Amino acid sequence: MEALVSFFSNYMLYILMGVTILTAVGVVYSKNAVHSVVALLLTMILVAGIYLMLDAEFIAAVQLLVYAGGIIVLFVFMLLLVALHKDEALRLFNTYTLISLGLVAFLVIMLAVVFFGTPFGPAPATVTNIVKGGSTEAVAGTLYSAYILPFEIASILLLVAMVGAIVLTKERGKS
Amino acid sequence: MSHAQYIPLLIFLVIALLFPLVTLAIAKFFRPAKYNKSKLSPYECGIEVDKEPERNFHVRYYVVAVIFLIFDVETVFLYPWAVKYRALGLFGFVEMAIFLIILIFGYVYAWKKGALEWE
Repeated sequence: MEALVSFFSNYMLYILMGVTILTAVGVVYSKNAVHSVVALLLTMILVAGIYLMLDAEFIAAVQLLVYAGGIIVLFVFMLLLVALHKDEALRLFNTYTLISLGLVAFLVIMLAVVFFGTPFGPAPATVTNIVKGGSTEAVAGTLYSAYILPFEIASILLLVAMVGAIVLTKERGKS
Repeated sequence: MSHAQYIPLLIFLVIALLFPLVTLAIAKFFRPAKYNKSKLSPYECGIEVDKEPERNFHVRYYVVAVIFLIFDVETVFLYPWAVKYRALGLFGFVEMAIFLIILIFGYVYAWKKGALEWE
């Protein structure tokens, strides 16, 4: 049991990250769109696991509720709406290999610059204290005091999303 | 940094994943594999399908899903607020009231536009 616990706390994060990358690759390389969505669902759940291992319990719960529970439903509905089998004759794969390679290389270089430019070290005392108090309390303590404006703007963002969805899907010609 | 509390969760997940996989594997091993074209049709019995449906899926399902998701996210914001309600006090109450009023505008809009009605 001791060995299991120590293995779990040391390596589980990396195992989760590795499997997440595999399922994310599966999203891209599945020939069947439904398989892609299932792989995406697995990716979302595994990302929740990563958050859990990083002591962000609240974010993990939100990830499961909103992404694995809600966004995936939107993806499934999207599949039902677009009827992929009617477009089988079309080439749905783009072939801009050279441009994509260049862009990916650029992205990797930029990420590397940020990664090696960041002075990593032990977390500041404030972060440790916040995490000790519990992830949900930490989110509440910062979101509703220091980040009040982004929080209120989030509600306007949600409003815009809802109005946009209704306007776009409303049948025209009817009042 | 103790994650030992999540080990039962991991065991639960592994069993939940293995159970259907093992069941399917055992079934694949024992069942006869006979190809039949009617097995692939949407309805094995009943009236033959003679043409594709005009529209696949009504877009109103999507609107309902989007509205559900938006209020889902709203609830997510309510949860940490409720946890720290006493510490935040009146300031937190007013803040959340503004947040909710903005979203209630959206709710009233959806109601008035008939997005919540099915017909």
